[in-house]
Amino acid sequence: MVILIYIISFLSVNEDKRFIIENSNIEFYSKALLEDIQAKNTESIGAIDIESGEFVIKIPVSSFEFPNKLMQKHFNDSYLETDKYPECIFRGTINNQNASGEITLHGVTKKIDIPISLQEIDGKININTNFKIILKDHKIKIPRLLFQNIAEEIEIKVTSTFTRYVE
Amino acid sequence: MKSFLFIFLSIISLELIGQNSLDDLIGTTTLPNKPISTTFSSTRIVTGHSVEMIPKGVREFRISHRFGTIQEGFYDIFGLDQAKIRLGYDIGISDKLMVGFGRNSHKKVYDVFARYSFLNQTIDNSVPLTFQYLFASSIETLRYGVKIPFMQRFAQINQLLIAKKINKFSFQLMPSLMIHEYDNYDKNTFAGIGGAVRYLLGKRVALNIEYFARLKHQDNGSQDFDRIFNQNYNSLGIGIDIEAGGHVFQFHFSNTNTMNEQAFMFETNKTWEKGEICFGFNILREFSSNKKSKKEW
Repeated sequence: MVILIYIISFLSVNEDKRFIIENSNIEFYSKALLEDIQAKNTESIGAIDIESGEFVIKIPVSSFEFPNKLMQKHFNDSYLETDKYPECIFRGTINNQNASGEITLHGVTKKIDIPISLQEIDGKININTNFKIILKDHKIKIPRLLFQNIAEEIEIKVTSTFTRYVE
Repeated sequence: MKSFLFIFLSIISLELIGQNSLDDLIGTTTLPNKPISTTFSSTRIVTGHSVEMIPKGVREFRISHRFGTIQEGFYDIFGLDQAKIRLGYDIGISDKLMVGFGRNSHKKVYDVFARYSFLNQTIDNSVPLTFQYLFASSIETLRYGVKIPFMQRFAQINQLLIAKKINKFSFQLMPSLMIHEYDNYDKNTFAGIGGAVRYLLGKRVALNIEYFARLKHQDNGSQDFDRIFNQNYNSLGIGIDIEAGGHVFQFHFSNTNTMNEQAFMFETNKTWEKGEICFGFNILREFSSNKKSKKEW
């Protein structure tokens, strides 16, 4: 009886509609006076249900790779405080060429609505987007110290490929 | 009845799984046993080594300046005229091993070191301490009127670094052993212990205190004992670190203005009690071998 219920409930979940991240690349760029700030993260995980449009993406913030490692350390320690807030979570729904939902970064959750480009190629889904995050919205404080001159807005570029979930 | 309850619970649990299906599918990126970051702001506390490593492939050019004592006042601009400098180059071989070399203007000393990390404290404290070993060696190349034996120019330091970070505080203990020969003195092994504390004053500003105590040999009443132990002092340095997105600036006051381990741990001839305080600073420039990713957008 129990086994039967399990089987029925597994069958009722339609596996075919769910896709998970195969590879992703999240980059940000900010022009600064002395040294441009840029970083890259390829370790995000995420899933999308193409039937309901529901999605969730989790980004390990401490996995952003900077060319300047000391900058990377300071980014983790004092700007994004990744020991305290290790993950950035973006969850919401995709609607045509638009993603809307909530993004949690640095412990602060913000509503967000961004245009995306979604393409289905060879049974895989490519999602690309460019958007901006305002640092003040997420309580990321930038000191007016020494040579620093970090823009208030950070431009973010996302390219990702989702593949069909196989159990 | 029992099986009924079980079925009921099973249905509920399946229901819950169904609701969080996307989250369950991917799990989490958070690892609880990640190594703790930034026990100290930089690879040096004031002058001595901290347990901070530079990552693999990163090189650091470090310029350390120590002025003379401030007590001469304006006559030699608070010690500026007596400035000593060490130019150093540190290389991250792996995330657990770094090596470096430097040149000190003090007695024209060349130094090399290697530091290896055996244990790294983790965020969840499953590894409670950071534990490292430092090997440092130096050669003095100053010319004297007479030829002096090689072992009197050579020094070797073996040091353990044990560190613990607790919120805004970081502590470090450095038991050390030096092998060096002094003129007319029969022992060549010297022990010392260092201690350091870092306190985070703000998000990007830290206060550091570093102290090195020498363990004296048994007093044999000789002049040479007096010269080596009683005419030298323990060293105390107090400094401020300022972290600024990709840079660290370190400013400090200390009763030593030398920068090789032999000199600042065992041969400090100034004392705070007489106001023989020296101002110093470290600045560094980081180079990374990772190819710079150009902006493409």
